[in-house]
Parts: sequence; structure tokens; C-alpha cells
Amino acid sequence: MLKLEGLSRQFGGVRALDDVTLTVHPEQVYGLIGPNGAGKTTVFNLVTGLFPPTGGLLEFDGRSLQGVPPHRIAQRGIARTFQNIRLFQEMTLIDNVIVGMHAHLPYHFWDLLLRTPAFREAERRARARALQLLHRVGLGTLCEELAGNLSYGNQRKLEIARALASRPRLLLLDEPVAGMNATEKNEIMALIRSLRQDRLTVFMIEHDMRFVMGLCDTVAVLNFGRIIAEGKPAEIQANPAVIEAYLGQEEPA
Amino acid sequence: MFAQQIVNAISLGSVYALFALGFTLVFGILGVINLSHGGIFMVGAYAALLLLTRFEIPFWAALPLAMLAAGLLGLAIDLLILKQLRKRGAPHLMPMIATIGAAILMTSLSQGLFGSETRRFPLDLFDQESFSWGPVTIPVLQAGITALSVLLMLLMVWVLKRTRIGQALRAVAESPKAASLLGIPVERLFHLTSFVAAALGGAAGILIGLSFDAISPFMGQPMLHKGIAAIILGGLGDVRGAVLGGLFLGAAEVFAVTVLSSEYRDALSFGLLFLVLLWRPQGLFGASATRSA
Repeated sequence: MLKLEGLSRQFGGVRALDDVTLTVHPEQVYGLIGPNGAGKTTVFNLVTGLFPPTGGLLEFDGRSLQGVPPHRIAQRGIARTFQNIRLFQEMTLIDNVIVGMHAHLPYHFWDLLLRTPAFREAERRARARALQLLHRVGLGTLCEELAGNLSYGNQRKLEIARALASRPRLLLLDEPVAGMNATEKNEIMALIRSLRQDRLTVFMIEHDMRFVMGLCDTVAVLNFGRIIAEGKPAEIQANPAVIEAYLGQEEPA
Repeated sequence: MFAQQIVNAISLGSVYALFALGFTLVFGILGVINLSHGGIFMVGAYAALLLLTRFEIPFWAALPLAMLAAGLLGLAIDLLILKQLRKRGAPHLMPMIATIGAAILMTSLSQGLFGSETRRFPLDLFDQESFSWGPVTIPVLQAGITALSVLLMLLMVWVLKRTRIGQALRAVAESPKAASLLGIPVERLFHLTSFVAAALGGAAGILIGLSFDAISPFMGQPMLHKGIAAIILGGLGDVRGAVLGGLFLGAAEVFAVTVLSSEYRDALSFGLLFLVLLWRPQGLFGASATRSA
């Protein structure tokens, strides 16, 4: 579904990513882990078109993402959340989610000005679906609250609801449970499992090992911009190179 | 007397507000200060003058056509200057300097094409009647100018608050990056904003030209200063703030002329601006002029 081949990115003289090759298959939950500064978020930024790679190939559904602007990539079916939350703080929860639907809503001036019955119907359905998504992430009762007033954990949930609003086929989650307590983590875990049952493909970056190991079908480890291991969670946990690079600090052998 | 001054203040202030609204839209959504907005304002007035005198088009048709011309000029500035700078990730001062250049170019071209002397709209354009209402006299022209400014502002607020494009624009204003990742065509909305803001600026030019009965190639610069004052006063990028900032400035000018004399008009109104900023540096409505990239 998503294919990265020999992908690299340099910032000035610094090689943030070096020859990264990985494939996310449909309906998989794919985890990307690695120490801080390994280049994980850079992978997401390249996939979503925020900046171009300096080398290598990037393909989604067999079509190149080279030179495609971010909003077109979003329209092709890739949605993401951010490590540092990027909600529209001054909008209500429901408006945040509706903004996420823009990729698929009509943009005709005459519809706006004339408020045709079809347009009203589309608006009504957009609101209904936004509310449904908010309920799905457990924020249904707060729908008219301003996003800026939410707790940190709830802001992360809202980001997921907003990302889902565009009906993505691939969802990129950048540290979805950072700063959450154990209860919230379990809620997100259940949510991601239910998303997989709806045949959504999830590609996530996460530091919480229990979370990653409990959810992911495949895990890749990035260290200093290179993939040093890829495999099933159990294999990764047993891989000496990974333990040395990353897990070693937490699980002295 | 006092009631009359209030009417005058609202009338002048509403045109300032209209000018400031376009100015603040560009800042709020594109994140740049477009210093050619005064030039666009002037070009709008000349476009209307040309349509009225050279082509003898009636005013009701000349106004939207001149707004269209001003809007297209704004779009051209976005495509030729601002977009090029965006693509290069140019720092904030660059679009300011570049748009100063565009404004100077517009002023010089107008001087060359139309001459430096002050021009006026055809006198017989409107009847010189007035409404009287107790002690207050409102010339029909002044009432029309005020009504038109208010109408255009209400239309903009409605678009921003109640329509989907408005919602997308608010999203872009908060974070262009997040908006683009949600599938919002940010560049297209930048073009649209530049067009609409310039059309509003052009309309303000026509209305000021009518209200002071004077059009000159140099009318843009002082208006630009007032526009900057109004949006700083209201809080940068805030639509309500721009409208209230414009009204405040209009009121300050009218009262300065009444209380002192017209020579002190700008000194007093900008002095007031300074005092307000000492008290509220973020402007009357600005939460803060920051946004996440």
C-alpha cells in the first residue's frame, strides 16, 4: 500500500534519513520505533508531502507521491496526526472534525451562495458524521466545546477524529498516546483495533513499547536515519542490534 | 451637533474599516503584510473613474467592475510576488519590501497614465439631496457610502463565519500546514483571499474618492497608514478588530477636527493609537498575533 524505497532526506549537511526502505501492507498496523532524533517524524513529513525527499522512491497504491502537494496527498487517502498537536484551537470540536472532511466536500460558490437543498443535505450529513466520529473517540458529549479547552489526552483523541473525517485509507499516527494515562492508552488501543476491523491501514510512531508490541503486526526500528531491523514484535524484541540501539537501556540483558 | 459628528464618524470609519478588513484578511490568512494594499485602493478608484468617464458606464455597473479590476490586481500581486516568495520560504520582511515596490510602481504608473493632479468623479453622479432627522443631516451620498461599506463587511463576516470556505479559511489562518494535510487547497485559498481583499480595498478607494471628492495617485499611502493603524488597534489578523479599529480611527479623526482643527487630525488620531497600544499592546481584540506554522 505504502512503499518507501531507498528514501533519503538531508537537511543541510545532516542526513536525517538514509536509504530507508519499508512497505506498509493493506490492513496492517505498522509501527515505527527508534530513539529520539532517529528521523521518525521526518518519514511522516516526507509521506505527507510537507517536504520532498532528497533521494529514493515514495509510492502510495502503486502511484508515486513525488512532487504531489500535501492537500492532494490527503485527498488520495492519507491522513495524519501530529506529535505536537495541531488542532484549530479556536474552533469547536465538531468544526475541527468537519474541517477534516473538506477534502471530500464540494467547493462550489453557487452552492454556498444559493444554499441548494443538496448542499444543505450534504452539510447536515457532514455534521451527523462528525458527531458520530466524536462519539467513536469518546468525545461526543463535548462537541460544542472549543478545542483549545480540552485536556491533552482529549486533544489527541480529537486529532484522530479529525484525521478520520477525511475517510483515509492510510492513517499516520505520530505518538498517539504520548502524555496519556493508562486508561486513555487502553481506550486508544481499543480504538485502533476497531479501526483495523474497519479495514483501515495504520502506520504509527510510538515510544510506548507495551502499546507498540500489543498492537502492531510489523515493527521497524529506525536509528540515526537508517532502518536497523524490521519484523514481528517478538522478533524485534529479541533482535540484539535493536536491544543495543534502543531497548538496551530499558531492559538490561 | 454631537449627533451629527457621530454620523460623520460612522460614515468615515466604515470606509476605513472596509479598507482595513481586506488588509487584515491577507495578514490573517497569508501571514504577510501586503503594503501594496494602499496602491490597490488607489487603482480601484482610478478604475471606477475610467469606467465612468471614458466608457460612460453607469455607476451601479462601474462599481463591481472596478472591484473586479482591483481584485485581479491583488491576485496578480499574489501570483507574481507573494507566491514566489512563499515557494522560496522567504523571511517575513521580504514580502513587505516587495509589496512596497509594487505600490511605488502602481503610483508611478498612475501618475504617468492619469497625471499627478487631483481628479474627481463626475459631479452629476448623485443628487445632492439629504435626509434630515432632527438635528442630523445625512447627504444621500454619505448614507450610500456607509450602507455599501457595512453591507460588504457583513457579507465578508457571513462568509467567514457561516460558510464552508470561511471555515477552511479560518483553518488556514490558524495553521496552513495542518489545513493542507487535511486536504484543504491552501494555495487556492491564498489566491482567493488576495483577490477578495483587493476587491474590498478597491471598493474602499472608490468610496473614499466619492466621499472626499478627490482621487490622486498619492491617495494610497496615507490610507495605508490608517489601515495599518486600524488593524494594529484591533489586533492583527482579527476581522472584528479591523472593523472596530477602522471605526475608532474614523471617530478619532472626526472628533479631532471638531475639537481642534483639521491640521491636528492625524496627530491626534495616531496619538490615540499610541496610547491604546501602551495600554493594550496586543490591540483591542488580539489574543496574540501568533500562529503555529
